[in-house]
Amino acid sequence: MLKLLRADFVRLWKTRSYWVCVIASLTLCITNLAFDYIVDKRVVQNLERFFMNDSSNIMLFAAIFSALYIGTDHSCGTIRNKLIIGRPRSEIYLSNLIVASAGALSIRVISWIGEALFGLIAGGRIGIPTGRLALLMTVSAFSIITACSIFTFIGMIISSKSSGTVISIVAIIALIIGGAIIMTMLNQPEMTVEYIIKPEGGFDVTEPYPNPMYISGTLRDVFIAINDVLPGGQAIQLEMGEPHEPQLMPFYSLGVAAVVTAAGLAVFRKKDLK
Amino acid sequence: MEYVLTTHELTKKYRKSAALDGLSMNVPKGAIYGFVGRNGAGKTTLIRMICGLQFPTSGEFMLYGEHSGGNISKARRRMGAVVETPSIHSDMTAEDNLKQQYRILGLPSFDGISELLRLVGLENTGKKKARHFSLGMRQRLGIAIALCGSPDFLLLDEPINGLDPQGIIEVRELILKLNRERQITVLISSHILDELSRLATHYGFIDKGRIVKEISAEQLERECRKCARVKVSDVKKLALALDKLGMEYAVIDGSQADIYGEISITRLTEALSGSGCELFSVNKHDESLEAYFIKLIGGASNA
Repeated sequence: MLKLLRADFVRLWKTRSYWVCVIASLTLCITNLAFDYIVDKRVVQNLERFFMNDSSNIMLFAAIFSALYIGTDHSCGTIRNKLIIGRPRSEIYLSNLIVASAGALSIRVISWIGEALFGLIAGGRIGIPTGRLALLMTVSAFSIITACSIFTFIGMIISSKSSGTVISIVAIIALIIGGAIIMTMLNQPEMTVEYIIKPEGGFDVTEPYPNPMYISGTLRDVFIAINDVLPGGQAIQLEMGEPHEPQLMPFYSLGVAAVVTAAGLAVFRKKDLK
Repeated sequence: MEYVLTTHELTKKYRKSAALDGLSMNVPKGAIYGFVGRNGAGKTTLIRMICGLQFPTSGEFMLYGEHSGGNISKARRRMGAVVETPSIHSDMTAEDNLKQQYRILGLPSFDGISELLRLVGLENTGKKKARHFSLGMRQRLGIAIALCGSPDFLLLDEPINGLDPQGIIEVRELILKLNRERQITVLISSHILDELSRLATHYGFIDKGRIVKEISAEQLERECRKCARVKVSDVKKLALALDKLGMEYAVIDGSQADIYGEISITRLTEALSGSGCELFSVNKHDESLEAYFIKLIGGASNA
């Protein structure tokens, strides 16, 4: 396993798509900060907001990089070089997962470093306690690992590099949009009012009544669980700044990653390769 | 005879068709085994299975005495392969590709890489990326990668497909060198029979997922050699006459025999008439590997 990891990390270092994603994500993050600083002409008061509000973008970059990295192993046929000399399929799968996760995490960390350097130089400061910031960063990191387990599953099962890349991107966009829709539904108020415009001007407000869009009962619990457990919902919650149960989210992430990886290993062990 | 690879009733079925249908074959140690068959006969499927890329539906194979259901990974460390297209990182140099394979193998140092590059004639490629290599260079780099672990057994799937004449000669010379100098057993699949006939010491003919015939090159040469097929009234008397004349021959049946080399019909007729044997016909019999293959596969298809 260590031999494969060593070889795969060297390949990561030489992978152009990785460096393109690092530079693109860093540029995007710093541009957001610079826009806030230069255009709005104000000192960044809450740097942590910038640390978290690019979570979806980072996941998208992680999807692109992971799919291209793993897909190249299939398209160049180099995955065969590992199998032919007797490397077990489980080791090949796990090595790709670890390296893809490490690559995606490094994209995340490099963006944070860039944001922190630019923000602090610009006179900005962090507006939450360090412990809270560390917790949110941990949630973000584990969320990326879960996303990478999904991209690895797709990349190892679908041998076509282009199909794998498209499916990974579509999957993460669907997870993020799904998370956003669920969050919007969950944020509906329980009671609502109507505003009635009076002919003579002004308006009347009705008595509060139950909001038909409000989700309650078991369905609400299910939606909350989905958004707490899946990386798309976690990314949306991080971007909104108030994740639900952040101290549990890393454990949820690990659970999902373990299930996805176990399923991926089971399928990949039986898969016929060309 | 010691075998590197033996397969027993190997079968690979897809939804509607069978790529391998009870294939049994034996690859002798030290041989260059020419694996001959039409497109779709099952050559690549078998090679993929030996390499661990695909799994048999039923049947088994043994590689260096290890059963496919057992500790086959250990046996696979003794082999190298190029399956269809060479498996190389196109954005790396030849040297970096070999270093990458050394890392996968867990070899302690990169010693031997320059020797491998020299062996396959890629020592002067420098910083040129593999994506800029010609097809022949890529093929040779693929073989070099397969040789990284110093294998005893090399599987090459259509290694000369698409190569120009110079490329074909280079790959042929390389295979012969590996077999003769390093005693590497080679299984080489191809449908370019003329080229294969310059290399192979043994042949396995495959059709519709089954081995139709396994034969050594010597036997095949005997069967394919230019000869005169004669039909006589008594083949024993013919044999005695040919022995006296010092001619090489092979008896086909009770009335026919193949006589190899240049023959004098006058001398043969005199010798036969002296022993009371009647000569009915003499036909020139000339068969190439290609003709042999067509006869064999055609015969099997029509059977």
